[in-house]
Amino acid sequence: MMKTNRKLYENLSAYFLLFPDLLLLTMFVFIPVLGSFYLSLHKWNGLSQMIFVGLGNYRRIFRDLAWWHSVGISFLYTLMYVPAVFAVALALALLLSNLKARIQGLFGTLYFVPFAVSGIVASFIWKFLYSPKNGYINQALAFLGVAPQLWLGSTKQALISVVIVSLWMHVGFNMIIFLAGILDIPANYYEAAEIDGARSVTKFFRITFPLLRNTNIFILITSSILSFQVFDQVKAMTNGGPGDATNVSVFHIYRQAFEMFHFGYSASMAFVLFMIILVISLLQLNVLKSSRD
Amino acid sequence: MFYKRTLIFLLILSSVGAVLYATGQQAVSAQEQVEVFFWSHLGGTAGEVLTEICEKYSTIEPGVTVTYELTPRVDWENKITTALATGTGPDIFTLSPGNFLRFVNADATVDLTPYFTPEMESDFSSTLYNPLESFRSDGKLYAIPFEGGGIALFYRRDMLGSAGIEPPEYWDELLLACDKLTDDKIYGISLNAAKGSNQNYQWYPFMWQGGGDILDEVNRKSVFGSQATADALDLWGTIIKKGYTAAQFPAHPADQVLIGQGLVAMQIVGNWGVNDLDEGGKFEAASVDFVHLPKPQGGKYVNDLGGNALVGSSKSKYADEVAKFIVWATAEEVDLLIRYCSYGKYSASPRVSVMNGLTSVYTKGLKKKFADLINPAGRYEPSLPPEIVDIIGDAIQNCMFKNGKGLNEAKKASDRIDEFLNTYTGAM
Repeated sequence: MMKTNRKLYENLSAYFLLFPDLLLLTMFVFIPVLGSFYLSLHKWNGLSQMIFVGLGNYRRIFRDLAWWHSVGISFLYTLMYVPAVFAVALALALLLSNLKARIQGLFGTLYFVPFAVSGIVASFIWKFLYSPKNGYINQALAFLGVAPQLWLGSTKQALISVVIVSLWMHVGFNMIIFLAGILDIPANYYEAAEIDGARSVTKFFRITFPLLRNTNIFILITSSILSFQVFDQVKAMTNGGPGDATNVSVFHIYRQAFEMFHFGYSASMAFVLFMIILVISLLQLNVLKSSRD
Repeated sequence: MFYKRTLIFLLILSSVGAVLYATGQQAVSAQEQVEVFFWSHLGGTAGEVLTEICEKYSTIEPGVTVTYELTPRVDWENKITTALATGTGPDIFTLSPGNFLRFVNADATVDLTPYFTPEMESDFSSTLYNPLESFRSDGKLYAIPFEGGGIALFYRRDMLGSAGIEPPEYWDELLLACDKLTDDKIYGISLNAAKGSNQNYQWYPFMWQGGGDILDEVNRKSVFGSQATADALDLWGTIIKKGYTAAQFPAHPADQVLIGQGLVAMQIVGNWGVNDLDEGGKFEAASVDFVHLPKPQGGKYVNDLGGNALVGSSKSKYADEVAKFIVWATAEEVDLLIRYCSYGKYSASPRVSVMNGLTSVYTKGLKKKFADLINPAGRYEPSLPPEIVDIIGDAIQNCMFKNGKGLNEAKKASDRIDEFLNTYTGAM
């Protein structure tokens, strides 16, 4: 009897403690998502009455070349950003794992600081750095004898310039996660490998990387999701330009809603983007988990 | 113990909720007099004078209080839209011609026609294009402008002097000047390279000066695919591709800080920048002057006049009071509008009586020159559906940043405009 009461008490405590967060999630996530889906079934400019169009908005998306072009830009962004953030964060974590605790903490903090900076603030700072005539980056390049670059002003360089800013912002966070995973690997594995005469590269590919599998999956999936949701950097630095070189999906949705005032249509685009991200995440999970098996 | 604590917590929560509800009820029941809310992004001295206008009206109509509320300029139109959609919007707000039509199409604006007399209309300027036309739809008047102003090509006397260049009058002179003035530190000119209604506003005069236009409004057909349009598109394309201007500047491309701080040698700035660039202004030391926007050979000088108008919300509970205030503030009041256009914000007025009063205020410097040279000859920024604004933006962007050729892009955009107009049933 006492055991049952205690279990009931523990369950109720758990629900009670989870309830506020669940309430907030319901109010600020689940209800708006349902509301957005409802909106996606209508034509609405924000002022007039909503007109029910059923799946009309979704049918329109399939014919909208500008939308699919923005999806293409997002894919390109992801292909540049995800491998870069993965590789750089892992490399930094490996370097830090070899340092003594205090210095490890100091460098870890320094690399993490950009993550604490607001995306808009970071974007404005980098916009100054990228300035073709007076920015520090081109001044540094001039010192090295390299011709000045247009960066955000070039249709060929603008997207990678945005990727670099995102990388700078997020590499610290991912590095911390990798570092935690690396430090969790038992030291005796490396000791045994050293006795067998294994080199650093061998130890990395045979011990470190395989044992980081769950961390790798987590970083790959979350980075991919994040890359499809990029907005702050684009809005602050390029406004989707030059031309439409950085017109990623979320920015395109924003434009449809707040410049064209097609709220219903933009809501449908948001759902289509959600499905794209979901499919990619599930594919990643399947492929990566099956390779483990 | 757990259940006791839970019960106490729920009791506290209920009490707080009850107090909040009661307070809210009291706040609502306290409102008995007519109070209308006027939202605008015009702050500083401009906001100060608009507040004075509201206060003066309350002395004329004691039963009506007009409360001026400043809202941030960023995403101004989105804020108004969201507020109106949720029923928390203002009774009166400011709009410019570029974003006016959408509100009319949504029946979100009060019809001011019954309150606007022919005598009032006779006081409005009828230069090249009547300013009221930008705010009319199907013969009805939905907003009344209270300020206006054109744009000009401002230049640094020191930079042009060092390069031995005269201020350009024609497009070929402009390109030559840009070429000589652009170096590794500064750009020859600042143009708005970001797609949007602001870019279009700056670009329109280049099209108009060659005789081009967007729509034949009588027949609701596009006339955008003309050689004049193509030439204007090619000009902007040439300027960006030759590196005479940047795709990104540290500040807004039309912000006078760029020329004031010597980041550009020439800049297209409007009335909003004159105070800072004139004697006694923040950038007085920059020694700036201006000329008309350069025109093509054989072209005619035309300016693009922008400016804000007062609009009444059709969702207001006091539509009659709102309309009366708007008409009084914009079409009857003179002294405070003179104060607005001089002290509040340097601008022209669409009214003859106010402009006559301003001649005694603008007596020297850039302010006088701008009033004499720039303000009189222009046409108001056209009111267009956002879809057409977007199509025009695509044409400009393709010529500036892709391999678009002016004539191809003009014709492509013209076809797209016609395609849109075939299914568009809103106001023009």
